Amino acid sequence: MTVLIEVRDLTKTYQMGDVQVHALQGVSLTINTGEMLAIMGPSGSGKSTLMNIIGCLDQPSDGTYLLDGVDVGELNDSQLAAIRNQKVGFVFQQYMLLARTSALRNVELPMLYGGKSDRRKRAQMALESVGMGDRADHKPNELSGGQQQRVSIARALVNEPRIILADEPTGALDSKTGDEIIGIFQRLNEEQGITVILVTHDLEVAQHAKRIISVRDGLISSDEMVSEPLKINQSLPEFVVST
Amino acid sequence: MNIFEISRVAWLSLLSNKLRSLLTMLGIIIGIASVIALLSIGTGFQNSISEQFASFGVGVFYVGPFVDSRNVNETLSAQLTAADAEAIMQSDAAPSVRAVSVAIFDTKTVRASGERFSYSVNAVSSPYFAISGSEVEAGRFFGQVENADAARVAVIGDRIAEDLYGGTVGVIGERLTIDGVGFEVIGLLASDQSGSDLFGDPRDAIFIPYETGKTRLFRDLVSSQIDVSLIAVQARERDLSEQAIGEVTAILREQHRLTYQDNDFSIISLDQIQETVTTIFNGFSAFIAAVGGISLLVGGIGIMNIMLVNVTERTREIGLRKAVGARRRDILLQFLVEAIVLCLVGCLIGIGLGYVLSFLGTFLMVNVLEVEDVSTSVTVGALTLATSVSVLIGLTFGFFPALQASRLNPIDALRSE
Repeated sequence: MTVLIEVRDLTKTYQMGDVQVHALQGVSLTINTGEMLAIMGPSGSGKSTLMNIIGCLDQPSDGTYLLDGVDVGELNDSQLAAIRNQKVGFVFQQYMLLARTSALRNVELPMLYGGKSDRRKRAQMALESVGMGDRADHKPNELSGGQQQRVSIARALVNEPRIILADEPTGALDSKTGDEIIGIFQRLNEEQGITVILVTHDLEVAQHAKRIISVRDGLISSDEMVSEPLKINQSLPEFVVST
Repeated sequence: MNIFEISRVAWLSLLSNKLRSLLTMLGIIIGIASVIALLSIGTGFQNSISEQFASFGVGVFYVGPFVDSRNVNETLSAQLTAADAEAIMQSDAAPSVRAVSVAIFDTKTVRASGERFSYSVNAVSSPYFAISGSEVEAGRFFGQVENADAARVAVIGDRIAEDLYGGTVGVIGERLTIDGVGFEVIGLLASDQSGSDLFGDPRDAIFIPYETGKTRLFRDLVSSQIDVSLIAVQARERDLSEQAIGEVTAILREQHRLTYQDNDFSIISLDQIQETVTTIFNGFSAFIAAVGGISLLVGGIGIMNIMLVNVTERTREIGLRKAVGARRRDILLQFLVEAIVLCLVGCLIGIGLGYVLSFLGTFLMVNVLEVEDVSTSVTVGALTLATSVSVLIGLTFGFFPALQASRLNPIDALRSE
């Protein structure tokens, strides 16, 4: 197993009005390629800040962050954009699909900024891998929440990233649909070896991961392996029928 | 993201809120439309005026037997004769003068086949036709010999031929009488000679030899001091008219033995008049440009305003685009292109509207104000100007909102509701 993410003594301080917020106060963490882990913590714990830094949306105030051997702290805005484009796939609670834009076009979006060819074909393949191949022409408002989230997973996958960062991916879904979304992540992790990081405050969701990291008051309070991760045993065709 | 992709996204975003896009473009549309319409009407008007001036002949000016004065003694002292014209022709002191002709004219009763009409009759010396650039459709002009002999021949305009003989065919050799004096028609003026001259529209005029007019028809107008209504002088080149005017003035002053007195004749230079008209028109154009410019400025501010709203409304979209790999300049370019597309579409609509307005303006001028020969023309220059101004407005007023968009922090942008 190779080290994918190496975080050392990470701190993040930002100004909120007159108050200095110490969101992270010295976090160290190593994540290997192919892991599936959950980051848990109540709101205000710093888990979102940690996720933003891991996703290269934000940079640390102090400490080092090596992603795939690259020191992210040294990068400028366009280099960070390139890393987000090539190495990270984001999945958000609110799906974040462009309205009035077909599923296919939505999935093509990251490739527009990466200069890839064959965009249409790749986007179609990504949609098929999440069981949305036949809905490529649908616009977000013609899709259910679960379907929209699957389109957003296809978008996260399309540039073949090293990590998928999912921020409360099931937060807006009912538990059954949420399970199915988690099932997709498990499949991607097991079949394609993609590193998946779930950020959640829901313990049941977290227990589908192989490792749970708890964050509290800007520090890692626990880091445990899950002895027996919950398994969504559903094949893709069954899943497609059910949503 | 290539420029084609960016333009497509910009276009879709405009389509997604058609009413708002249209309202935003209104300032640009009105600005461009007014500039295009008024410029084209102005150009048409100016063309028609230049054409009329050109029909007087190039580098032509006139000397008239009148004095611009309220003093009766001075007005009565005016003098100008055919001998003056002869003196100019013969003088070595007028190297810039190409040709000189004299004219005397009045309205006379003309009769043919029992019907009587009232026409402007112009008695001119033969160089007149060359100076005015006239051409005959049939027959010929009279020459120097016929002038000297006071021959009773006439060259007529085509409308007169219609009146007198019911058509322009076979009028050569026909006869007519002017105040009872019989004439033979020897020439028919070409109907397409443009515009009018100081004698009025040549299509409605009769030309006879100067000597004939002086001795037979216009005896009441002729005195020892004045026996011409005008002397027409043509300079060798357009640029030499000023010089020719100076030479002619000097010769005439010498002829009239003027030393300290004011000129006892007047010089009317069409080039000068045309220059004045052109100056007025340039002022008019500048005024229009200013009005259009203000409208475009207001339109530009409108674009800026709506682009700022756009950036605020689409904060989440910007955040998402950044999250999936858009760099600052990608976002900057996207919003900049959107502003430019907005301006360009407005510009296109404005050009269309301007076209319609210019046609309407022509229609009004021709049918209501009864201005003749006006054809408005939307010039390539005006279109290029409109397009580049629109792009410039888009760039100028779109830049600040686009910069704001590009500087959004992706985390804040994603979190915004």
